[in-house]
Amino acid sequence: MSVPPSIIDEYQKRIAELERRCQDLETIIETTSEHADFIEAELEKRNQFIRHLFGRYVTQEVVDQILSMPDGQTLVGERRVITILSSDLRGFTAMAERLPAEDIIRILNCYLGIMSDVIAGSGGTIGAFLGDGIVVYFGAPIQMENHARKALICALSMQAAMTRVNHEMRERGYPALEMGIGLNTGDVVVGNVGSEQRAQYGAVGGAVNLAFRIESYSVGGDVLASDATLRAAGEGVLLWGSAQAFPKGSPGPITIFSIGGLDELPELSRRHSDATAVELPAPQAANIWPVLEKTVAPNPSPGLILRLSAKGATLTFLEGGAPPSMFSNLRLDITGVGEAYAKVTAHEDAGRRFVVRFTQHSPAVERWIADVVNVPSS
Amino acid sequence: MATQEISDGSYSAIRNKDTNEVTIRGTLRLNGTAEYAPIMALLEEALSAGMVTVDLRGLQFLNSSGIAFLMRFAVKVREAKGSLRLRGSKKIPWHSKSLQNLQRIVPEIRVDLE
Repeated sequence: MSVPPSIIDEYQKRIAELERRCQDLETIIETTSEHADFIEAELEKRNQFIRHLFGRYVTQEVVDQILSMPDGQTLVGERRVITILSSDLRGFTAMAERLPAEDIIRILNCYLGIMSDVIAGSGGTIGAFLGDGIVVYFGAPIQMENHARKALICALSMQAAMTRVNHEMRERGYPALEMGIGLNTGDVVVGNVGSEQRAQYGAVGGAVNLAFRIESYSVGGDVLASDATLRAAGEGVLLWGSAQAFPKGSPGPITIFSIGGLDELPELSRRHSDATAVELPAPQAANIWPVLEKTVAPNPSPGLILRLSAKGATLTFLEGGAPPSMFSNLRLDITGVGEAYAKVTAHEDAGRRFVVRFTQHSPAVERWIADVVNVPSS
Repeated sequence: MATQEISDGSYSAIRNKDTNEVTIRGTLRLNGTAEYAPIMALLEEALSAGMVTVDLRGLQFLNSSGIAFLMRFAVKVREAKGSLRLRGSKKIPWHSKSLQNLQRIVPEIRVDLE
């Protein structure tokens, strides 16, 4: 039986059509896969860029977690308990006034570069660089179980890293830097704050303000923490001391703790004593002004410097009276020597003597101190 | 100007009935044939005039279901013996790569990268 040529022709046409469709499908699959590969590669390039850029502010672990969450869920507003670390260079503003602009930028970049590495290594997220100040969050944007302890370790590591910063400073012929750190733990609102054009991930709330306030009580080398941070940090915290303070905005006085180290990290523990302190053979006269809100009060009180070290002094008022309050700032006019600014760090002898740390002094005062305590001036 | 529009906030597909040009903008990441069907219907209506221009210069992202949808539309153009012009942007990396690929299925497609 033979098949009519018209049917053969019809089948051949259908086969040709099917072959063409099959070829179309193959081309579609092939080009779709190529497109998918291309956009995957583009996406990976972008992710790497984000990792690199964002990784300067947070750890790679945090970047990876955020990238894996749809629509940046972690960055929407949320109330939670975190630990806030605020650091600041002591006396840097005065130094900035004396040095050329390019030197200031070089110093800041060196300091902030080293600190950023330490912070990233400790699991903190840099919230902002505020000139020479750094704000770091522990527990945001990613939740963290032991945020207070991690913040303490970070603060101690940052102080330890100042040795490296000052080595660089010496190499480049710049004066040594000193940093103070304040820590607080509390309830804040975290999220992206700003406008469509410019937004910044940050934390807001009284706990943040208190961290700044505690940091303002610090002098170079200090790690000061609130009671809330100390309690949340757990056992094994080595304390140098504590003091009461009544910060603005606080419902009552609070206890501030000076942190010396952690049991499990002896390499980060610091020496407390100031080995250079000497008793002055003859007390040195000085006029003492309180400094309130960056303004020097009009009338000084006469005083005497009894002990002196490379970093600070022990004073008394000539006419008696209550000592200046803890953490308050003073201007000293050291008779026949020069001007210095200092912060009250301790009361002694039932309040008759008070200890200050210099926060800023003139070159003449620096030379005088070096002379008296027999250490080279920087 | 008579227009027909489909949009969902992340993308828009607008057909200008006077010029028979379809402009697709934004980010297209719809899932599979079913979700691309309304845009396909819009393009097919434009194709009924025989000649259609699809302006993709503002289309920042297209997922793989989206490129398959464009390929299927190219096959429909060939079957309808129509003509298709694609306008793309040299600034968007996937345009140079994938729009030219449509010519592998229908060599007559005109691709203009601007």
